Amino acid sequence: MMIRDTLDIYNRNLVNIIIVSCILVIPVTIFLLLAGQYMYELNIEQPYIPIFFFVILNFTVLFPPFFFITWHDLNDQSYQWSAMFKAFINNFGYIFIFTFIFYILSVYGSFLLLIPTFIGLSMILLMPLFIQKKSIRDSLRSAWKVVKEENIFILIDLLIIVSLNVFVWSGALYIVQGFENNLFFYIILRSLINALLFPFIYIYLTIKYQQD
Amino acid sequence: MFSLKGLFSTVGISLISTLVVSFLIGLLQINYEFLVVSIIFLVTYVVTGITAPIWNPKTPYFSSYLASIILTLFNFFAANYVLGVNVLFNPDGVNNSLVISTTTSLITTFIFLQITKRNQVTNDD
Repeated sequence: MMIRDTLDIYNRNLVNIIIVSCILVIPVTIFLLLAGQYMYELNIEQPYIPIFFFVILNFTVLFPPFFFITWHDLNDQSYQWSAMFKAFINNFGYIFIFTFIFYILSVYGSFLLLIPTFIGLSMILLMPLFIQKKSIRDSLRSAWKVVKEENIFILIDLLIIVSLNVFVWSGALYIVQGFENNLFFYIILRSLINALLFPFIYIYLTIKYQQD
Repeated sequence: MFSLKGLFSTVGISLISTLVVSFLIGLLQINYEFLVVSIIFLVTYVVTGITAPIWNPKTPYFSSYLASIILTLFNFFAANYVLGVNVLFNPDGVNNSLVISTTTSLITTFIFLQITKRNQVTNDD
């Protein structure tokens, strides 16, 4: 049922989704993965913490335009073509800062039996869903309400997202197995897969957790 | 009313503009260090000063001040943990960077507000 709705919305807004994918998703993914590579080449103590931060940021920062598309589709409203990019630019700082805060919380709180890690990751997953609220307090409160209602079942969504990514990634690597590949090839492949996969995940999450 | 969301939007836009400008500088291969640093500095804090009154029309100066302080703190954080420069050991440098960045964005906000006020007056006439 939910998957059929996702596919319906994807088909209805296919042109807009392709435009956003080409202009935003692919460059942002390439940029953040290159930043991760740069972090790896620097001699810092734990390079995997900022690299994983960039991977998570890649997911959350690209949420608002697709949320915008889905929200206007569900409410039968029309919108300007440029409003999708405006949604990305306006919400970039808010999502960047709160992803940073919750990521720090979940990394450095992991010695407390992984409870802050779980709460931080679910807040990172749910926080971009409530960007259309007026103030930050309202959006964080609604995200926290969803965390309290659904508690452990958000992990299943997280598992679905991660396993879908791993599945498609391994399939793509199997296809290009015989070629001589380098880092840039993997980065471009990863960005194409993100452009293919991310819209489905975003629309699915928006339909599932957006009650009002 | 002061809106925190507008402040974060200001910070985000100046971060995006910094990223784009530094990407262009890297693409064009400009090798003069002073020129590069001053271009990035000016773009970041001038954009902060211009975009602060858009989301916080009631409290423009406070918003641009806070946004530039947040950006400077991000700079310190990145310099400490990523580039390995111990910025906080040098109090004069910290003082200089805080003062120069906040004054740049505050002056930009002042000029921008004067220009918009004059435009409104001429439009009303």
